Amino acid sequence: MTVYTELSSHHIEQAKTDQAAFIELYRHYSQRVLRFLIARTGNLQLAEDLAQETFVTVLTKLPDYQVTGAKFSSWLLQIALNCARMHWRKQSNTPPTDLDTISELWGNQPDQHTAWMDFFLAIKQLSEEDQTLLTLKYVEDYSNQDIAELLKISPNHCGVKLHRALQRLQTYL
Amino acid sequence: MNPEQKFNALRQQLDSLDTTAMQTRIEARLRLAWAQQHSAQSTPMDTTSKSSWRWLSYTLAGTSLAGLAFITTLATQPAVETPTKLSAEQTMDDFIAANKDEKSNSAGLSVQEFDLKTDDYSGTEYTGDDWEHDTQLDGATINPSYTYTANKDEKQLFDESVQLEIDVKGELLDVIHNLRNQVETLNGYLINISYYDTAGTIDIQLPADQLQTFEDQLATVDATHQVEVLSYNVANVSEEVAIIDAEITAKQKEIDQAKTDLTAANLTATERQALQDKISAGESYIQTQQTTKEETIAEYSLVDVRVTIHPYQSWTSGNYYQYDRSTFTGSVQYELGRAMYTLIHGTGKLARFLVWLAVYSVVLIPLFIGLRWFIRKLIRFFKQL
Repeated sequence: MTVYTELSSHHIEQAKTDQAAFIELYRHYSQRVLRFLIARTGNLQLAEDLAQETFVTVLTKLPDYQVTGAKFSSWLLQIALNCARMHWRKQSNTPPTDLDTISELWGNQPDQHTAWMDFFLAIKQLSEEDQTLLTLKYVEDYSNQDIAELLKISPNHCGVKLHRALQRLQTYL
Repeated sequence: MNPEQKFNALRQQLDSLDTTAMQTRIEARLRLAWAQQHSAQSTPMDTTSKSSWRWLSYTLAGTSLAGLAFITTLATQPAVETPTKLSAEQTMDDFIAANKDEKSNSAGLSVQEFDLKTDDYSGTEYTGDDWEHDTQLDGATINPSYTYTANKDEKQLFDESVQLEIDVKGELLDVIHNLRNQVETLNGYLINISYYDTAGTIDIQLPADQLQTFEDQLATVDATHQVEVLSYNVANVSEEVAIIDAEITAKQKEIDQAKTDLTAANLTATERQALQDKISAGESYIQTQQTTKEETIAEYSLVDVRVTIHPYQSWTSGNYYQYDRSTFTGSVQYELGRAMYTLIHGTGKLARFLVWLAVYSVVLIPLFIGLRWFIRKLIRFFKQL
């Protein structure tokens, strides 16, 4: 299991003006953003496009970013989530997943393709908030506290919502 | 597998997924984006950060609104009315002194010197066509407003008088001075000027056919380009001339009779002298009557005009009574005007300033936000093209 760390505030401040520091920041967080977006979209190409859009937005907004003690990754994922939302708003007919992504992820298990396709379809049946909650919790391994901070809800409410989202997903599977 | 197990499996697959190629591609594009952004920032316009520009725009907008409210507060300051009749008289004296060198044309008809054309009227018998001639008055050509021909039915002469009112912006004295010049241009006569603090009146006589021109000129002076006609009186006075005509005709008959009598052979010297005196007196009488007739016609060919001039008062100055409350629009305007008048005259400067600031904020800020949104939409639309 991959363990992610946060960059120091000094490094983030440096990334505002220094290209090398910014690229280092990108390298540090890019895999995390990509993972989140792949899990969230079920589409490798779309995830790459959204990840690029996310970091271009970060490049623009970074000079205004104030280090407040909150995780930088939370701010980053919030931007990624917004980019994904913007994409779905413009193109609401995006397919829930594509076969290339399935075969890329489970190329060595062809018998599992249908099952994973069903899984992604079931996730797409959930509300946008439920999908985000489950992705953050079970793919990004975020704590309820972090998710609550990211989604601007209370931690207790977050736990309740997660529980209900899981139940709903179960019904679709 | 339950959902949690599915997610765990998905996470493991994601962990094992090689995203190096994707990361490399994104990194290359990010380097380009960085270069573009920082080359753009190196231009003088973008040396300040976006945040600073935003605050600068907020500060400018706030200052503009406050400035606008401040100016409005000063502009709508209630005028203090000062009963300075003495100073007004002094100003009028200055006004008259400043114009004393100009050609005086202010004598009324009662003292007007007539310079009638001798060829037309002196000593000659009246003919219908003579009445159509222009009458020369003090060097000015008057086109009479009557038609008077040999046919009795067409003899018409009117006595007209009209009272007009205008509201003007600026100095009353300047307006009066301009009106005086216009009257002279239109071959009219200035009768009287009265000026006091809050209004002025100017009495004039104008050739009837110039009345409309004068009204049009007044409309250009009026703040709302509308001349209010307070009264308009017309009286047919043709009878006055008809009576004089009858007297002249009767006298002419007497003269003719006397001339016939004079040809008789049996007249004594005393009788002959008496007849000659009678003829001379009769001719003199006719001449006098003809002159009177010409004067009468000339007098009635002019329209008496009184123009009352008031300083213009906007609705903020309490002139909201002008709105017609029987209509919805008029009622709204009336209530708005009354509210603004109360605001301006009933509160202090600070309160007025704050209210104006609130009014401008409520009106202008949503307008600017809407405009910004529209421009952004437009830019986005053209970019997509």
